[in-house]
Amino acid sequence: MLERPMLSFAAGDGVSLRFQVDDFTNPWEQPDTLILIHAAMGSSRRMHLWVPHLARDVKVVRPDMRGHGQSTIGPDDTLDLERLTLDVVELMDHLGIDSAHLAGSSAGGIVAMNTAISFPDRVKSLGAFATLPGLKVSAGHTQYGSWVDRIGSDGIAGFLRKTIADRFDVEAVDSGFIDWFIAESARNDPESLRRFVPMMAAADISGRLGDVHCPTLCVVPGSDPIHTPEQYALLKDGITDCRFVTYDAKGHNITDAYPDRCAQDLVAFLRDIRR
Amino acid sequence: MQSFTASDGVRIAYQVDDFTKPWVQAETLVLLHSAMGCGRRFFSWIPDLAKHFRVVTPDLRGHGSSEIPSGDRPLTLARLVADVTELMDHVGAPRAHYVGTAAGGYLGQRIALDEPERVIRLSLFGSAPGLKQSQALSWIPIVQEKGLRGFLADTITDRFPIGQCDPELVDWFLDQAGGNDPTYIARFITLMADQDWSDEVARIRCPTMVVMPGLGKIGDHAAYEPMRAIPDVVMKTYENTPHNVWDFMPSRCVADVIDFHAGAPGRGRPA
Repeated sequence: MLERPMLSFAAGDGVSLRFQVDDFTNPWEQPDTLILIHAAMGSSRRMHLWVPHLARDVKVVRPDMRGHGQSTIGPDDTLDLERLTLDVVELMDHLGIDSAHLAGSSAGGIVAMNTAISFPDRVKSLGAFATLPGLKVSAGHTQYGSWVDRIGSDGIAGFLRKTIADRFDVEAVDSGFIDWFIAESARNDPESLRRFVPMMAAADISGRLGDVHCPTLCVVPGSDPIHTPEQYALLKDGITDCRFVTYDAKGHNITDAYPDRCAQDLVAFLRDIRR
Repeated sequence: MQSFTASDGVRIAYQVDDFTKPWVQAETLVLLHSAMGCGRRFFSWIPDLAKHFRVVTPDLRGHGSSEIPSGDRPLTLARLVADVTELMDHVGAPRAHYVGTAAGGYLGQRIALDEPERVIRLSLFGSAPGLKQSQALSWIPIVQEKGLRGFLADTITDRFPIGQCDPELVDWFLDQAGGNDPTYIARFITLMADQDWSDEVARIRCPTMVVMPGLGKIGDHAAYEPMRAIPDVVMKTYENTPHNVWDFMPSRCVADVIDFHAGAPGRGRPA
């Protein structure tokens, strides 16, 4: 990847957050903005394969969530879902836009969903990929506490390498991809994840799905060791305007393994709702 | 956009777009715009190309967001070429694919002739071996009388198939191209109108694709004939098209570029 410098803005609590912008929309039109939010242990770079499918239709903005990529995490007591949600809204303020389409992968999808619930006037649509309404929903199934312990003992790379089959059909992906995925994830600070993962594991917005009023696309993996089909089905049952798509795919990380398909489904959804 | 300072001190703006798979080594492709253009004119090209290549798109000096050089220094083809080669060194791409539209293609041709080790493959849209065999010098008094936008609006059918393309695209083109500094553009066109290397093009060694707008409005078909002598050349005519094919039929141009630069095994790489 040829690097382009990221842009930055100061969140409401003063923490500096970075983001990338890709806009190939017709220059004579005022484009809608799509904010694309990566997963825990990810960064904006993990979403870059989505961009060429989307950026002729919408201005694509990819933040690094606080504590990820090039964004700092901030003081100890400020990291919670509400703060991550405000980061999204304040990014919109910085961009000078009233509202945006949001889409996110896994924990990034939780942040996008919570933004749609808390700031309905500012979210035009929601794309939730491999996303539950808070990780507490799956906490009886996946021991997020052990993730923190294992990241502590094995490092991010060691933890991911040992659990990689939870995330990918290792036989089906490109050679070289797994090593890149692990190296890319391991650029993150383990100390930030030690704070981020338990916070997300305690988040539960399943009781507020009825407050998602915008058109919503949910895309979930058919065989995901981290979240169960019953847990994903909460979205279909809870969100009023929900298009629910299941990929016959093994592993949690559909957004990394099938970026073209995810982005093409998202752009088709956006075209449909903007028609 | 980013920028760097060329060796004579002029600031050159450029953009990099790379949506290739990071775990595969991708080649670099540079997009060189035409006179009165800018990198943004490739807005509809870049997303698809950048799936295959690291795409570098400069604004040529005096254009777009790049600095307009002062009038007391001569504007030369060698200087415009050096801006591109210095940029490619700056971004770490001493060898790359070169794609040029009109005057941008002149720079690509000169680099392929003079620094052949830099050019993997070359494709040219509406770009003959220099502008000498055209009416370009006659444009300058019209520009002085009517302004750049007025000149372009009066001659728009040379460039766009009016009635068959998006009128908003044409308006944007007129605003963008017509918004250039007319004094600098007069220098640029005067320079280009004096160029003719039709007796040299046969020396281009790299595989080359030449796309000719079929109506031959700016540089007629005869101007392209010497290019048939390039040893490894594909000549294509887009039938019944005015000059600016890259603006009004981007999908066809991009498909041909991908096919030519990344299509076969060993060329670029698959998406």
